[in-house]
Amino acid sequence: MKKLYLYIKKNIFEVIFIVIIDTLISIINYFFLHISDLKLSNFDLQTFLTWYYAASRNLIPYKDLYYPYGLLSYYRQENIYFSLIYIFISVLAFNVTFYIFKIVFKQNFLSYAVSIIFLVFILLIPGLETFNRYGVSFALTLIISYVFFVTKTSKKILFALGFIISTIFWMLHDQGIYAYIIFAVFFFSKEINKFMLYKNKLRFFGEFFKNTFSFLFGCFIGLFIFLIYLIKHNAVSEFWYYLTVSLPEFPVLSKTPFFNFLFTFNNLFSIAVLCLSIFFVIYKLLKKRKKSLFMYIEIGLIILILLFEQKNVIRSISISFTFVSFALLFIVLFDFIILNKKNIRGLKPLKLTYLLILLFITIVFYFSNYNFNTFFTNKNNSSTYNSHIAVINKLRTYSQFNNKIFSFPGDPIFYTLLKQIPPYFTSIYEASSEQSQQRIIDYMKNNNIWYVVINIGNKSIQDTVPNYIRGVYELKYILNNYSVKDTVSNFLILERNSNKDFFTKSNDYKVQEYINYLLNVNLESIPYSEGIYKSRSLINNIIIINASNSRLLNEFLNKNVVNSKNIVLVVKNNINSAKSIQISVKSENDLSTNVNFKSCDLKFCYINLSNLPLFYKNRRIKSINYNDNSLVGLIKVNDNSIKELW
Amino acid sequence: MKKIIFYTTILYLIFLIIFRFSFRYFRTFFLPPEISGFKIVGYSQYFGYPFYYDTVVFFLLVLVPSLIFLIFMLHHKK
Repeated sequence: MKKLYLYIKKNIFEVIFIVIIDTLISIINYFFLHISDLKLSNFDLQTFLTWYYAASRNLIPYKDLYYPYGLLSYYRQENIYFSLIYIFISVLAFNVTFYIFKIVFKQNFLSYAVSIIFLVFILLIPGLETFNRYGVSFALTLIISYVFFVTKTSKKILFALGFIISTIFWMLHDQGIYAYIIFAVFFFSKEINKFMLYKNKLRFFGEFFKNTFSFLFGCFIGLFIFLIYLIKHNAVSEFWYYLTVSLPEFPVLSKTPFFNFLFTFNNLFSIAVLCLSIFFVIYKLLKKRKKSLFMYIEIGLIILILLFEQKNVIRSISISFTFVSFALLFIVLFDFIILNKKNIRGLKPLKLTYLLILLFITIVFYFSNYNFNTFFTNKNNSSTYNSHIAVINKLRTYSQFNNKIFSFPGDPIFYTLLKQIPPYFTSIYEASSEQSQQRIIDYMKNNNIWYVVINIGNKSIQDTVPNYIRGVYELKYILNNYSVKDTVSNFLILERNSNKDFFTKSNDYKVQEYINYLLNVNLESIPYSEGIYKSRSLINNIIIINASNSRLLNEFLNKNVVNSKNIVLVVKNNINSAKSIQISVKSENDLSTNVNFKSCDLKFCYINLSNLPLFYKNRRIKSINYNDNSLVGLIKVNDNSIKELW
Repeated sequence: MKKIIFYTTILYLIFLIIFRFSFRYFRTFFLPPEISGFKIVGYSQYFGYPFYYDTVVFFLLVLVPSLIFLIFMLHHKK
């Protein structure tokens, strides 16, 4: 106590500075705990709200619902301990940053000035909520770099690092994974270096195993609370499934082109800083400069940005980690300034210029990310909340309504409004895989769902992929087992009834519009990629007909009964220049569907007819019309082969 | 040192210009992604956008200047 008193007395300015900054961050974080204004038209925000609702209903993540962010953000509104950790996690991250800056800059004035500019940058550009997440791996990188620089990495320290990183892993999964990777890079580099130096290799391996064991033991203790949590809630296998199946699935379902975002100011800044820092580190390594904390921090942050960039390549998060690039820039810049200087105390003009550059970058960033359009437009975005209420009011007039619905493609706000236990995946975006959609179908069956609400205004839940493509298995089940009962605003209310045909002409223009939308299908590249990868699956299946023109094919279809179940349409375009192909498939009752897709460049395209909305139900194929420059065939595929096709 | 930076920048700019006019052609070397056993159709599977193309390009953009710089530095050292 006396020591603390003496430290405070000696460093009163530092203590006041830290107290002010920490209080500011805590107050802002406290407000983040209480969400009041959500634009519910956005399915992403609806999903977040549903997750908070699920936490309040004591639903267990991984077991009862899909939740990818870790326990800290899941329980932050429900559990006082998690609330406190949430409020103070960025306080801790910022304090770590400040003390590392203090060590790096060695001068009080500069470390305070840089810390303030850094905080202003965080508040203005990515925002504190982003720092609450990405700031954790940033602070851990600084700690790991510092630890590997100053100490001989004793077993106690390795144990402590294992404990801290593992605790972060179950609180914020992705941040923990980044920290594990950065630790592994530093640890193995150091061990390889030691291996080269040791003459007695046996002694080296003995020490290596002891060090590894210390870290792993720390990891085990760090994960212990989480393991107890999983065992208590019987969710160990579900967490394992999340780790080994759901997590690898995520990049596959969420990948978007990087080039659309590459030329944004944030991305260009990060890539430029990354390149410059790599240059600088190479230069220092080749000049065989004495090892310095700068070098360790620079390498640590370069690896961290490379990891963030891998996520950025999948789906843009460039603005979220600009603060890491900014931190790397000002560390490299300062390192560059003092590179050949023996005495850094008398460089006032340089230091001032340095601070002005940092301030200038912050201001440029602020204006480059500021959206001037929002200044002139109405900030109160219209929400669809009222139409959700109207749908519920309508549902309450039905005698069969049991306060449960299923929402397609994903308006999870319905579950919160109805106080219903939501399905495992709240939208078809997360449930893009066949297995996930099967889980949703089981939910509909097991929970006695009488009504399904389809948002017909939402044609593509994400990335312009039509919902009938992404959510094909779910939609197939819905259209085969439910029929239209009512329309409210942009929503179709469907009632459980498998006898009616969804595609029967409707007098309601909204229903007919949706039917027309489902009958004009765009498959884009799917037939092309199926043609490339799935041709082996079709070997040993029966070719029903191979026709060089539509007349021959339709004569055959007139004479023979060919049902759509397990039928694969094979199309080969004879003209290389055609960019897209259109085919019209007609079934009984004058129903026909138009199918568009990208040309397959003189190769075979495969279309699984059962995945076209009209053929979700098994129907007789009456005719197929297409351009006579194409070759069309029909293959009857057995049940095993059809499982391999989309 | 100034010369090395100058030559690195020039070569990198040339690389960027070549890349700018050939990246669509370069993309055709990559096959469209397969709809795997997960049966997931996201953006890249639907539009046939090569899954690893961006990762390769990203590392090219970052590593090419570093490699040029490293080669010049090593040459200079000799």
